[in-house]
Amino acid sequence: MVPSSETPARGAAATLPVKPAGQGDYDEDFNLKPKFATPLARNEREMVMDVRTQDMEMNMGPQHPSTHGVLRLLLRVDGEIVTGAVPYIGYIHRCAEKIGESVEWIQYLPYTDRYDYLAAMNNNLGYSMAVEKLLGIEIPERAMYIRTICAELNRIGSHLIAFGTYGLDLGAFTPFFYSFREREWILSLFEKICGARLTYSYIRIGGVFNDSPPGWLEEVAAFCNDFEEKWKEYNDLLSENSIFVSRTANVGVISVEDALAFGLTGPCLRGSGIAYDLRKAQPYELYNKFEFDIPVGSGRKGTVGDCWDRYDVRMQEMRESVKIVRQCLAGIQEGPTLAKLSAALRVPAGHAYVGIENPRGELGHFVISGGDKKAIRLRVRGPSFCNLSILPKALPGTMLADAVAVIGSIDIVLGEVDR
Amino acid sequence: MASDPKPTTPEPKGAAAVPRHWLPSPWDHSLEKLKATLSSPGGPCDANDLKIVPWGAKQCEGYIDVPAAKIADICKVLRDDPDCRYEIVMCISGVDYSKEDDKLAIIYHLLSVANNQRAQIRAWVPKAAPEIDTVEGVWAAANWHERETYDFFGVVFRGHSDLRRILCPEDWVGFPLLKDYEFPKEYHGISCV
Amino acid sequence: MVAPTHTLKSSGWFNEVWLGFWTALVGMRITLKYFFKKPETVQYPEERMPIPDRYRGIHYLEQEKCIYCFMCARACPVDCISMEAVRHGKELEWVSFTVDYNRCMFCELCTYPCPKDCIHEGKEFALVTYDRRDLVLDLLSWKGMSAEAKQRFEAAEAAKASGAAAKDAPKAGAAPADAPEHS
Repeated sequence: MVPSSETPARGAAATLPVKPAGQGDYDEDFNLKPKFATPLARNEREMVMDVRTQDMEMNMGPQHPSTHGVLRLLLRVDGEIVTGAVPYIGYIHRCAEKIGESVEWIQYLPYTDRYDYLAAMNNNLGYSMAVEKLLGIEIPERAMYIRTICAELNRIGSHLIAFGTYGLDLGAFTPFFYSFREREWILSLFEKICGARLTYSYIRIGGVFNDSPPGWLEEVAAFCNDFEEKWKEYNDLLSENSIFVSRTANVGVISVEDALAFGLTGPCLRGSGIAYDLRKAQPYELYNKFEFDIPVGSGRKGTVGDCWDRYDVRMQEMRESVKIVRQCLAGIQEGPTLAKLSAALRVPAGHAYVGIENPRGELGHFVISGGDKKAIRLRVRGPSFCNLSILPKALPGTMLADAVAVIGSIDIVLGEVDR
Repeated sequence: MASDPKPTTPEPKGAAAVPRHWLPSPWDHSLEKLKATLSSPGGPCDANDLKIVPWGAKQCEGYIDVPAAKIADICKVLRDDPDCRYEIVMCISGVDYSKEDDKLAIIYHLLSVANNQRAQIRAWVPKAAPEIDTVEGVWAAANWHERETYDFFGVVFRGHSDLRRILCPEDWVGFPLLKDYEFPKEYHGISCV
Repeated sequence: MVAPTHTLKSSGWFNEVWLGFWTALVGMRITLKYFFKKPETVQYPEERMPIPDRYRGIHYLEQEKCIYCFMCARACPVDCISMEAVRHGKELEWVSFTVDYNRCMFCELCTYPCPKDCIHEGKEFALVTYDRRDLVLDLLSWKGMSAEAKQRFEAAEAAKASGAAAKDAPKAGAAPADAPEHS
């Protein structure tokens, strides 16, 4: 296809032959189809509030503190009740996949940091594992242990942000500071091992860049001990708080069917009651050696799959991560941390899809190599991208203030949605 | 269109031996079984239409090439068949293998939570007029993935409810992940060089 | 008009009031505990957090070790390193070695391929300028040839000249073609 002559120019979507006006929930001018106007997506609370006003459209975002980045939501509200939502994304699209085709394999590593910047270690890990699968190399065991420690610590750090900002979204200011205090410790641990606080580029193809500095593992152990204590405080502060429970229980319920149909993974899927964790179900690296549980949404405060369940799954997961880190610390041995690789990396032709359990769900890297220094295609399957796509389904029927609770409970990182 | 059905796909030439900790991966659906399911009597397609494309000698992560015309039916079977039960479509990726190809590949990565297995199927569409049926009716998640594939490759998904650009701006010209894409010099007066 | 209710499971009205009161009290107790503790924060410009040894900040170059091999520039994903030097036999006459910090993302990929281990990322992190053009920093500590290099170069030239003189007497007076113009 020659892009110049045949591709549609401005307003490409409007001139598409395949979009007969009237398909989908909205038409081009964002008028809801009758499907939404009928009591189809109404929940019981809306039935109770039997006042109908004229629907109003309003923008939430892109500069809205509760959208966790530059997410723009076009909401259609009937009084206080959301009757329709359309997410608009792409405000920080950085063409990660196009860059992946134009830089060398190892050079792409810093770019992986930048999609889910709260869990950059996990991104590094996913990309490295995909390329390693193509290369067919064995990773030294110590490197795998360090990778696991880093990935799990980063999971804790990421969930701490989710916990803190979720409280912030719903009006609880204090947990945010406390969670950042612990996260700061994790960041300084990462700073000691790799020199960066956010964009680590530490886990690389073939292992890790540096061995852990002396005393680092002991400090990780100290962190684990301290974190167990602090976790109880967090739980007391927020999880059981009556106001918080009122804001989250029975709000934004995502059924199992919806969760699967919309491709939800990670805490969002587990919050809906499915105990599916890639670390357990399809263990990679060393995860089959470790003992840990998969927290699942229980409906303890409301319905299974509500916001509180998703929040609770994250809280419990932090403790499981601490368990894993402890087992890593017990099992780690001296040894090399980097497999032998040539400097100009040529990856054998083929393709590999590797999905790993990011804090937000399955982060998939699908790489296709033509046997050259660069990739033919580098596809990133971001968990936030898919988790976000449920908003048009999950938001209608909730109160406008609860929209914030639903978005926060899905815990998106816009850097990864937009890539 | 070239008469040769086999495109210039970079298939592994002496691919490296797969390390131990990758294989065996019990969660990769056996391609033969998948093929048998799809081509069983009453199934969506004929056995001749399906082509197994293994990766290396061990068939780890192989594709099944499926006819693009029947993609919606095939996906429905993959979701509903008790041996498959692929409830989640992980990603739908367009692939432009090379400039010389006259075809685009669309690869569907599927995950079954119930059976804990994965599968990949691939359909080919012509580059000149890339069109394929939507699978939005099978998996709701396909909505955004197909929009993304349209955004980057210009593949038109017939029957899609809301096919517009998703990551690029709506007035972006061209489809950036095609190999013959030319970078624009400027965008709304902003120099891109 | 019935207000929307979120009911806690198995709780009546009094129970709910008590629960709200109690859970708030639990939170207050925790915050009160921290009221008497030392704050975690530091007053930044006066106090500073310790910076670990592996910190990835602004580069520094051990210029005497550098052999002008371009390995770091080639490894850079964003092409922010550029260098220029003139070779005089074994010695180098430096013109520039710049890092464009508009682009640099501090990934440290430039330091690993270096065969002489001469480019590092240091502990400096404050990159504040009024002009973006000022962010292109030159890492050289001297321009041209270093004193030792010049000495070595002149010694080598002299040895070469005398060797040539011994070998081929008629051409002894010829000066070296590419003599350094400045030091």
